[in-house]
Amino acid sequence: MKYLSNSSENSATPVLRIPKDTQVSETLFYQDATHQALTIVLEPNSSANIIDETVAGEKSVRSIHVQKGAKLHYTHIQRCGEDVTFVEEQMAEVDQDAIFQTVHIGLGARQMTSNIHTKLMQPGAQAKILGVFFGHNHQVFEAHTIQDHEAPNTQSDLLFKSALKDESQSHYEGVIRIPRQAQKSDAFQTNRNLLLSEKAKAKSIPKLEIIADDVRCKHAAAMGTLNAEELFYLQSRGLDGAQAERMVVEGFFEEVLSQIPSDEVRQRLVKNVHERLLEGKLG
Amino acid sequence: MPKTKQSEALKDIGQNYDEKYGFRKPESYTFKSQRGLSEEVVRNISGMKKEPQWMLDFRLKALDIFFKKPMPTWGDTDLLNGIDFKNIYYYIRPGEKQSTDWNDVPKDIKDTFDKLGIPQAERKFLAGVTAQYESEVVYHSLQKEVEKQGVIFLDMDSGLREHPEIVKKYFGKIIPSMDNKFAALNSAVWSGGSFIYVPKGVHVTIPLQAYFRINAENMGQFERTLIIADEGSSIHYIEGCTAPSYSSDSLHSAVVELIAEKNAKIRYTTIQNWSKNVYNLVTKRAIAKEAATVEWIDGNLGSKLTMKYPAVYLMGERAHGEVLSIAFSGKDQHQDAGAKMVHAASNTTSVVTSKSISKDGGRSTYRGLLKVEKGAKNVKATVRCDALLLDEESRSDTYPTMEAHENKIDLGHEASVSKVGDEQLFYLTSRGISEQEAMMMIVNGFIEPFTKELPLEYAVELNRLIQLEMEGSVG
Repeated sequence: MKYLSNSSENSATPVLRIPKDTQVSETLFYQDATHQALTIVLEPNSSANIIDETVAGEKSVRSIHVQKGAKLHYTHIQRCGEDVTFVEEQMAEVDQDAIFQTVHIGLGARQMTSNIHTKLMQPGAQAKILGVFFGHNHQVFEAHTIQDHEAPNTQSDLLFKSALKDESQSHYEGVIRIPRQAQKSDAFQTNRNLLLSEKAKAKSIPKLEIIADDVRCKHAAAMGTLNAEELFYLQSRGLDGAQAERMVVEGFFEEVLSQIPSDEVRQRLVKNVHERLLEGKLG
Repeated sequence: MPKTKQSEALKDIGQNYDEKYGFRKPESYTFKSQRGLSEEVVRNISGMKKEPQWMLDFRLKALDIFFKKPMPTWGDTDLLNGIDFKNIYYYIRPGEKQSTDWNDVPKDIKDTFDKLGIPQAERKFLAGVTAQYESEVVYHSLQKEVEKQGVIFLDMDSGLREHPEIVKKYFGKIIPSMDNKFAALNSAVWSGGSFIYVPKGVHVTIPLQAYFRINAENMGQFERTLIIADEGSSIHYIEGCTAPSYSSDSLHSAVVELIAEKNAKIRYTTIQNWSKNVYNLVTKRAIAKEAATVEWIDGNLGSKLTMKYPAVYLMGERAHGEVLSIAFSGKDQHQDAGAKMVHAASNTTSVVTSKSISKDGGRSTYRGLLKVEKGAKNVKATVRCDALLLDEESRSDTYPTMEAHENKIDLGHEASVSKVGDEQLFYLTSRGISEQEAMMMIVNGFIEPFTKELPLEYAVELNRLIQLEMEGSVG
């Protein structure tokens, strides 16, 4: 793969480096089970779309640096076998006027733990942090997020969604931290959980720690089952109960999946979701 | 408005607390236990009160738990670990006997009430006023019609003496001594507080009120309140407190247990304005049975550190719980408050509304729990937290926890943090209103959902307190 190098002399971690002022128009796909760690660097004013997919292994460690004026759309897809415990560690630093979007898709593994830490280092840095998890059987998805606003005039927007079938579980805990120096920052954090079975469980702890006063900061969390009115509406249009339910769940994921910059990958994920919805029964 | 100008306008707000609100009377106590805590102190307290054996056993067991339990490892641990348990009086008894008539209330205590600005006429009008002065209730009256309805409204010590069967049935059942370190402490050394029983179908139309005060240096206040609203009854209890300021730290650790039986309704209103050296570590919990409603209306203005999370356990179908709270944190204050709603039955609903204001480096924390237990279906619950930061020295934290073990539910949580908008200030000042007045209007508007739930005299008192906090050197 172009831009990928097996790094420096003293580190085994491969580096994916987009040189200064380089706009990579084609989507870069990274799929490598031999290395657990990867460093991604977008040099100033470069841009790229990277899709990083893990289908085997136990761990992915990502260190991301989006430098001044650069733009990165990064997607991490986890589709491992359901016999593994998977840990995802991501640390991202976003510099001045840089734009970072990170999307996290969790479908596989018996237990997945995601630690997503995003630091807005300099004024004008922006980050959009998105995640969807679709659990079935006894899967457990645990996500910990940190949005650190280190500088004034920074923005972060987080949306994590989980839909839970069977006896699956979601545990979300996230924090927005705005210290004194990060005035005029905007920060948002939303966690939504769709409980599709009586035995599914969800826990959500969205936290705010705010010291700067001139900020706009909001968070929201919600838990519930399929909306009866939405289902009724769809059924009144001729869909049967099961179809209506599937459509509502697919719509629930659409908000995040639509942000993935590859049609092919997006369609494949929609298909994965659809197949999982066809297993067994909802409700 | 330029930032500097705004912070200048805010600078003096909340200052001069001592002159404006701190006052004290010389101590005149008949019995003052030793500083520090030991089995002997607990035995003494129980003996002085001529309590039954089961209560002494309860206290001693709780004392044991208190010694064994570690300090909480969450919250403001720096401040918590600053409490010197050895340097606190655990029991003081003012005057020998309980007053039954206003005329018998000692003069210096009346003076204190005068300073609080409670008009004479109002005092007489208020249904039952239990004035907690030091560790025991000194004044207690109950309006005749309330008494005639069969309502029991006593201080906790008298409650234990006169109605031991009811007390034994409920005491420590909602909040067991094991619950937390401070509940254990209260269980060991409790004194005073209110005991209320409202019989079946009785509606107490006038709020029952109690004033709490601390008036001795290093003195702990460990009230114990138990309110039982029997089937189909309703009651509104109001607890308000202001305290003189002292140089060293005071500890206030109350336990409040509420039981709302089938179709009953309890509203519990608190305005807490301890002086800014008081640790206010309170455990409040209610049980709401079938179709019962429990509302906590909770205002936190004073104290150095408050940790208080009023809880409602919704145990019966169609029960409803509500917490409406405001917190005001000024210089050197940390209000760590919140709410807990535990839905353990189907078709239960709850609403939590929390407002906080931080200024002069004050810190406000919302910490809450919303939980749906297995088997509780069709639960609806919302939590709404809004925080206002008045300067860049202050801090706001939000730590909500939401947990669901059922899927036929609808839970929502929303929170926001912001400052007073420049546009809002500009609009008001362009209408000829001074900056401080404008600021106060905005703050008053922000907490209005809370004030409008208070009885008139309390709303007036609260407005006066906020004004004192916000006013600073003006006037």
